[in-house]
Amino acid sequence: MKKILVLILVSILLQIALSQPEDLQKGTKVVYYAEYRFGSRVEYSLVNFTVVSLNDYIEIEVSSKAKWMTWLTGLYKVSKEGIIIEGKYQGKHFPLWLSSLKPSIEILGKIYKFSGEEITDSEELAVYITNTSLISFRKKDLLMYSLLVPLNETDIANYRITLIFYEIEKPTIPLEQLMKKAIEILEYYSLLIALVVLAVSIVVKKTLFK
Amino acid sequence: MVNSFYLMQVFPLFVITLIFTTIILRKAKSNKLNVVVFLTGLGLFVIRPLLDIVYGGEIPFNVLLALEYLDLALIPGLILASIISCKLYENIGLSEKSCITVLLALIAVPLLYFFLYTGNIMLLIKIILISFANWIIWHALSDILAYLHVINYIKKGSIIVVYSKKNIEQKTFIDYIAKVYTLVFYGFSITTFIFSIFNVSFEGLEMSVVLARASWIVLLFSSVFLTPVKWLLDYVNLRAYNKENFSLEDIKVWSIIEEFAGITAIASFIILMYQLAGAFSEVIYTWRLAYTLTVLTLMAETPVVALPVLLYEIISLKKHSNFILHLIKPIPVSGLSELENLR
Repeated sequence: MKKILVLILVSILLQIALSQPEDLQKGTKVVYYAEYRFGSRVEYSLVNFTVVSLNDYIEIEVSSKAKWMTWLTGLYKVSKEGIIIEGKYQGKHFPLWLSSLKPSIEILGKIYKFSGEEITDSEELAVYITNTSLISFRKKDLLMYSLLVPLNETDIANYRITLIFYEIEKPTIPLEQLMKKAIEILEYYSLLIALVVLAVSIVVKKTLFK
Repeated sequence: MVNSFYLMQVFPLFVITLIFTTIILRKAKSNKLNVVVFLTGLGLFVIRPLLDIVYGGEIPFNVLLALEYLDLALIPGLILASIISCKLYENIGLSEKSCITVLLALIAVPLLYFFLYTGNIMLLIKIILISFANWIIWHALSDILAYLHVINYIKKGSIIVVYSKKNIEQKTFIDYIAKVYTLVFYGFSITTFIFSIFNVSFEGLEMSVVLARASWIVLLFSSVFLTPVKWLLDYVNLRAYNKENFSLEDIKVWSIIEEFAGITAIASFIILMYQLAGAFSEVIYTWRLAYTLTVLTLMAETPVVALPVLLYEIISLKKHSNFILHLIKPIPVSGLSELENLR
């Protein structure tokens, strides 16, 4: 009975240990909640940013069911610094990435700067407020929290769209990949783990087994 | 055509090599000659990768045929003959130097084999580091685990005794080979067990590499519970005497661990290699690929275990033996009559 319990325990522990993906992976979907306002008219929709591939450049598919988001939807090729290489959006930086938090940000060729007293800055959030735009970022990972996007359309002054970060859907990673990852990590740290075990054993022997 | 080549030419050569070499070794009754034959067989494995380099990957057909005779007939014939012959004369001892030479060959030949095939020095460094880490864990934990194991016997009411006369059993190189390959097959047995829990499919060459690497990790973190503890307990020659039952028993390692070693582990390893080879649909002769996979896998696994075995023998064994004897303080007995007087 004890043996079976040990085996079950080991199996469960292994399952827990091997089921924690962390890196940005192909298939990761960052979901934003979008709010559209045109005068008194308000609409809501979801916008998905899906990582299609991760090579020298990151390919991201932006999709949404809302017609008022078509200015952004499509396939983008983005550098690891967040610069758009290919894609419909006319800004230099891709909306999801910022290389760093600077006192100004360029969107569609316009430079937006901090505007003095209107800035709200906290540990978690940096907020950029300009005459027509409000952009805030989660500081920890430079992920855009909400965005009032200036559009390359004529009636830009008449409506606004705000994107609010909703969730990240991580792809289901095949078990074989998880196994490989776990093996790589354990191989990499094998000597270090062994040395830690040796150090602990020396301490135990000197204290408990004199 | 190909089938008849293996059945009518290669297999008979294997049988002839095995029989004649065994007879010669039996006649010679020399364990040193056994070692020489074993090392020759092992060393011949590097011929194929060496010729692969010489011919730039395009080995002529005639040379390939000769390599088939070598790999499938001569090498297994020589290795098996030396092992069989040595088993027949187990009482003939070997110098420690000869045993260490065998262990060194078990480390060096696989490393050379992989280096010739891949030219990847980082792979060799990785294998050596994992092997070294394996020994460090053995060195750190074997004595403590053996001590805790013996304490369990004492808690159950047994008296720990030690045979006071020196153990006159001589070492043979088979003992070391047995230690190494018990662990290799144990590693695979545990790995396939874990993989089957997670329902990981065993398909493709890539998966066989993952399997071999997973086996390194399994050996690294669990081999200490099997061979070194058992080896240490055998070396100190302790016995547990139970006065109530009048029984004297060997101190055995954890039976759950031992379940994964032994003949069933070898059988499951062979089945696994065949299963992996069978996944290559383009290969008609599955068994031939299974043989190659077996050689590659054993080459990858052997140094990871042989190096710790060598270092444990040279550096750790005596220290650990003193540690156990100092803490346990077993009662020396020289015969059964002395046991009856024990309190």
